[in-house]
Amino acid sequence: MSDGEMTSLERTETALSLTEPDRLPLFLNLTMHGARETGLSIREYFSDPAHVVLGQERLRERYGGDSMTGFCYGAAEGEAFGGETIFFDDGPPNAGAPPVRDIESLEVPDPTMSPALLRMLTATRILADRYGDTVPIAGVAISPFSLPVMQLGFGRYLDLLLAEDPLFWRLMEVNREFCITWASLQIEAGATAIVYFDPVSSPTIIPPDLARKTGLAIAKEVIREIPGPVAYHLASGRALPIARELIESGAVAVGVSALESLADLKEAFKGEIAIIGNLDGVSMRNWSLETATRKVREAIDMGAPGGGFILSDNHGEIPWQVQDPVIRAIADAAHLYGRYPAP
Amino acid sequence: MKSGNAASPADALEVALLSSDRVGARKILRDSCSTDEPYQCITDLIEPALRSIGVKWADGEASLSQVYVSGRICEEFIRSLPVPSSGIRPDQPVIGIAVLEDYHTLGKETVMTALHASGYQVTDYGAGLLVSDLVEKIRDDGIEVIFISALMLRAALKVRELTTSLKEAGLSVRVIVGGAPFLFDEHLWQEVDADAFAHDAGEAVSLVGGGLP
Repeated sequence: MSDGEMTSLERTETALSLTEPDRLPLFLNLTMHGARETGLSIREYFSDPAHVVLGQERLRERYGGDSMTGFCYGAAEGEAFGGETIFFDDGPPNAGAPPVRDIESLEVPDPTMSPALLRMLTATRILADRYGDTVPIAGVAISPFSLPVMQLGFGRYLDLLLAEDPLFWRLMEVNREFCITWASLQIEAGATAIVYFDPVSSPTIIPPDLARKTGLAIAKEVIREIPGPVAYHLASGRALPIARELIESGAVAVGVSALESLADLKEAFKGEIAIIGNLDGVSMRNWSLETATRKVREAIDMGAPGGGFILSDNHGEIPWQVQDPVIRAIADAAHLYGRYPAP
Repeated sequence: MKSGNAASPADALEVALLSSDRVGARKILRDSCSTDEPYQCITDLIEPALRSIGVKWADGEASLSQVYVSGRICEEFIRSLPVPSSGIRPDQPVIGIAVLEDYHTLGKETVMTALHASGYQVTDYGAGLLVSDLVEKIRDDGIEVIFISALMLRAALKVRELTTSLKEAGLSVRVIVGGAPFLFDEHLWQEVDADAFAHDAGEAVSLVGGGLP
């Protein structure tokens, strides 16, 4: 480390406190890519926390990102409710058929009884022990309001939500307790912060008025109960129409979408909470090196001034199909052009 | 805004649908449509309203749940009509819809509902399908237009395998794709060799007849 250079943790904390660090923090949300680094299939890679730790170490060494994570795949939370996970060789593990039939008798599962969640917890603990003093270790929890997409299937869940069925609130009770417990376990294991994934509350999925009465209100309660900082992530969903509620949610940052202008987002959240984003991961796989550099520079120009910005993808996970040269070009451009003070 | 303030029945229907006003929407449809001519009702009211709501969603002015519910309300109305067994569109192509190797089905349900609301009969092949299985079903059922909905990038890229397999099997099928990955990358539908890309459910309906995006 050169004189005056911050650690990744200091850099991130400074950005989150809405001031300018030494350079722009870069969160490369690479989960599956650890399998590529370790020469394992995605399924093998996620089957052992030691693999995940090694993968995260190699990815950080290769690209110099400012975060690490023990997170493996979202479908693991569905597994805790009896769901299955389908593994592929070239993409994220995916939730299988929805497992929840009877909401009335649904009980809150113990996350520590779920092998997949335990593996994540172990990976988080090891990463936190080794690097937690200098690198933010991200934990991940799916919101009580978005988890039913896996539990029930999207159509059935929307029918339940829109019909104002009392079973909706019964399901929220179960999920709320599960989410708080799962997030708390990750904080206890050493996670620096929790990324709270809640795409269903985005105006992309439901109208803002409905979100205010349901998902956003639930988020505010849940975030208050999580014993650590929380980043609110809409997983590519739009944020601007609910900016006020996101600011007041208690989160320290919000993950924003490539569907919205970073300049508009910066203006909406300026002086309130930090923003994380918003490079589009889907088109990223076809970017030339020049495009990668240009996209990073554009994001820096719009998001970096004044701090309160972490450069990242817009979904919370970079697709498997994005190859090393593009990731390297993003990292190089972020390091080269992300120096503060911003021009 | 109340539906009565809108300028035309199609506008009034759109307003009622966007506020999930099932009763109001059905009244507009009943008052404006002749049960003897359901096709007219579809072309004059339902399709324009659903198309406009779809565009609003793509522009960030409406939510996916509003698109979904709007289609459901119109579908229920169409299903309530005394329609001959040949259907509202007896000369329609043979249509199927599916999700490949994935269980995110809301996009499929939304498009299928919009197609039903527009009088089309559709074979639903469900979710989690392997390409080889879907090709077999397309061949067996004589499908002429297949809609593929994808939420995950990997599932969207699988369409390339489908289009290649269909060509190898000598099957002439229009492949119309939709879903988040295609919205984020507007070149993706061409990359996977689909025939068309629908930004939203309303546009999907308009593409059945061979219209270009």
